[in-house]
Amino acid sequence: MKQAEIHGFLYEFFDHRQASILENHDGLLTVKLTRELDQQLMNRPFYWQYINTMGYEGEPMTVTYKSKEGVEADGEWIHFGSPRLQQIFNVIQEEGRYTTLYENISENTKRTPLYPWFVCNLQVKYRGWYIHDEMVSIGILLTNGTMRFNWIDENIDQHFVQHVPDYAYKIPYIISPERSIEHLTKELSNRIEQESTSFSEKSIELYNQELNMLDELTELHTEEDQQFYDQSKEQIYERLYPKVEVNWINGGLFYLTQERTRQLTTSQ
Amino acid sequence: MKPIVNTDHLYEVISHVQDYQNSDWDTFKKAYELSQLSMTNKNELNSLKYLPNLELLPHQREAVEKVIFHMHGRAILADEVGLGKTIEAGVILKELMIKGLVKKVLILVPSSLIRQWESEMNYTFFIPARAKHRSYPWEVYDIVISSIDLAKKEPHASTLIEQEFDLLIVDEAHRLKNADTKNYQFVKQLKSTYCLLLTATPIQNKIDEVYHLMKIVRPGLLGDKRIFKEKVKKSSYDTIQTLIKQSMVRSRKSDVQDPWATREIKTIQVDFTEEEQHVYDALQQLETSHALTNLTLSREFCSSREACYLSMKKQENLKESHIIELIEQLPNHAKALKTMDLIKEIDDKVIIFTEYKSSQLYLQWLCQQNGISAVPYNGDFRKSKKQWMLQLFQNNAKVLIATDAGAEGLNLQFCKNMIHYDLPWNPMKLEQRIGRIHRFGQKDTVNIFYVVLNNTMDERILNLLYDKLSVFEGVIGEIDQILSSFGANSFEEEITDIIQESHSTKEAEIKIDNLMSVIQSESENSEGELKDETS
Repeated sequence: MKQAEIHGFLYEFFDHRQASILENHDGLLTVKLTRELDQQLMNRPFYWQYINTMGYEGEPMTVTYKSKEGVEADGEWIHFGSPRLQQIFNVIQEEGRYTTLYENISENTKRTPLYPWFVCNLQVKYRGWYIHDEMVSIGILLTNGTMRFNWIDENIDQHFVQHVPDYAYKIPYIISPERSIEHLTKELSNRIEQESTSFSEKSIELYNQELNMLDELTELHTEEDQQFYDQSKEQIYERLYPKVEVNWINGGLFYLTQERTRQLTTSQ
Repeated sequence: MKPIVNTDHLYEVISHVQDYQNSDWDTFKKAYELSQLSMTNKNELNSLKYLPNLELLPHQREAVEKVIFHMHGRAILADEVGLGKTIEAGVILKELMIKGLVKKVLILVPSSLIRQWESEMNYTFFIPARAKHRSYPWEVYDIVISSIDLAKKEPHASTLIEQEFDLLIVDEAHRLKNADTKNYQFVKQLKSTYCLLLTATPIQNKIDEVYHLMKIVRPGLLGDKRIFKEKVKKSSYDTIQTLIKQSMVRSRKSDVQDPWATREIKTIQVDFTEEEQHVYDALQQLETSHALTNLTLSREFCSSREACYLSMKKQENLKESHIIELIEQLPNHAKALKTMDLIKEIDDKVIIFTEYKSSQLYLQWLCQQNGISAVPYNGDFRKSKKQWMLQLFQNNAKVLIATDAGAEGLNLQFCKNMIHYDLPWNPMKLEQRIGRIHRFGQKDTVNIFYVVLNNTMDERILNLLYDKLSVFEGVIGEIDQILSSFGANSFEEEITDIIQESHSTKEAEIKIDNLMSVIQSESENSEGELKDETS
């Protein structure tokens, strides 16, 4: 995210959440927060606890954010990496963690079936010889188990809505999302194992090398020595033994038309 | 060979799906895109884009990359004073946090540096590190800064040893060099996946001191203690250095391209008054049990009447000496008076370094008499007092009078003038002092003053040692270990011996020249090795 993009990003964030924008110049944004945003961002739980107990309205704060050099105003300087921006990122990531969405077929007049896809956007984190993250997006068609990689990128330009469109109806799934996760982890683990042989080999080589060095320390007379040996071993394992962690970024149920479903299952 | 694949997080999320609200498409997409931004790449430092205002110098960047990519997060950071070890440690911490590897961090620093670390972590790196407060237990902190002196005491020590940290940082880690101390035993027991030890003086006296530091960072690298000792005997200093470099980063000022302010060095010469000279000469002739005493007393008298007086009073056989009476009658001290004139001439803030606390007191009193605002700073002050003194110096006072103890790690870039009221006999100490103001970020010319009494120990040291300081360029931090590899004492002890045992100035000069040529040739050898290794 470039510095010049931050203003627009902040504006969208607050506007999307119904905060009143009081001032909106290039690089200067003054916003009267909503109750919910105040609780998410301003870190004053005691105030809100008091307000709630007393049954008062409460007065959300007004904040000013600056994101362009040379802007003359009192306000918090926001840049990539600043704690405030990170906090806002976290709000979005938390809110966007799970969803159920329907393909938007607004001008629909006949009864249209919508097919259930379970979509997982995942972070695959390699830890050992190197530390590296990969993003993996997998969609599983819950009627027959077809698995589609890069699902989100294929659908990022589509429109989805939160309610079932008129005349559309949901096809019930045959495979449950819980079951589909099992298929998915099996498939993903296979792929990871196949694609990461040099990572694993090199990591284990490093791991063994460190362990051998540790074993050369012969002074293991006392309990303390033994403890030091054990904790060193642990530390070496943590850092170097090849590990891949699969973490959930976001996902959920996506209902797609038959046409779109066919496009996804047949195209390569 | 297969890696361990852990998918627990997925199942955990799936089993709690009902707790999540369904997000709208726009937010869902944004959340996905933001996650993409935070993915880290294997051969890249990902933290730097989060720190747009931080400009890493080439040697700092190199150090960070070495520690992250080659040393896998456990290392000794041993840059010379003033090259920015704290910055390197901050970036490494940030990088490990962004990579999602580090959450629980323990930072152990001298108590005088706690506030500085806290503010640097928070303001430079946006890392929410907090100084340990006595009202809160250790467990509530994710990133906690404490002094080692507090942490090693019970009940803190047991609590900390129980915990599993992701990263342990120890600043001024040369305090751990002795394996028999409580400091060392405590730190050795701390469980942490990653580990950074920071020190400007990794091997102050004996090469096997680094053995103990390395044992914490990378147990086994130097082998068993006995084996290591034999290895040190058999192989050269350089072979050991090569091994050590596997887990130690060390930049020297002389290697680092110098975008620095220059140093202006001036020597201010003063004569003792007749009465003072008389006392000084008498001190030389004084019958003492040991020649060393004469030397010490002369040095002290070159600093202040008080320093010499107090130390004579402490010794049974000297406290009745007639010299004490002579000292009592002296109205003031020529060097101190000259120093006052010098301060008045400087139209800016000044730091004065002295070796003796009694001189410190005297100078402070004298400043006051002269209408100069001065604050003292020494190792005995409590943390809060130190902070306060520094604040006073930065905002109000013109002069800071410091002793060497307690000044380590201080960052006083806002000051450009330093007076060495006493000359340290160890070039490293001198460098440590100058490093307080002459460090990266200092853009102005730095003025260094030596105040020297003619026809005294001061002048001898100046002539014998200070004219030849350029010999040490680049090895200043390693003088002692070079000497120890020859079985010699520390530099200061060698100099003391030479001055004490020499019958003439000429003799002392020859001996010191010899000592220096030994250091010089050895340092050239190791420079040569270094270059071979990198080419």
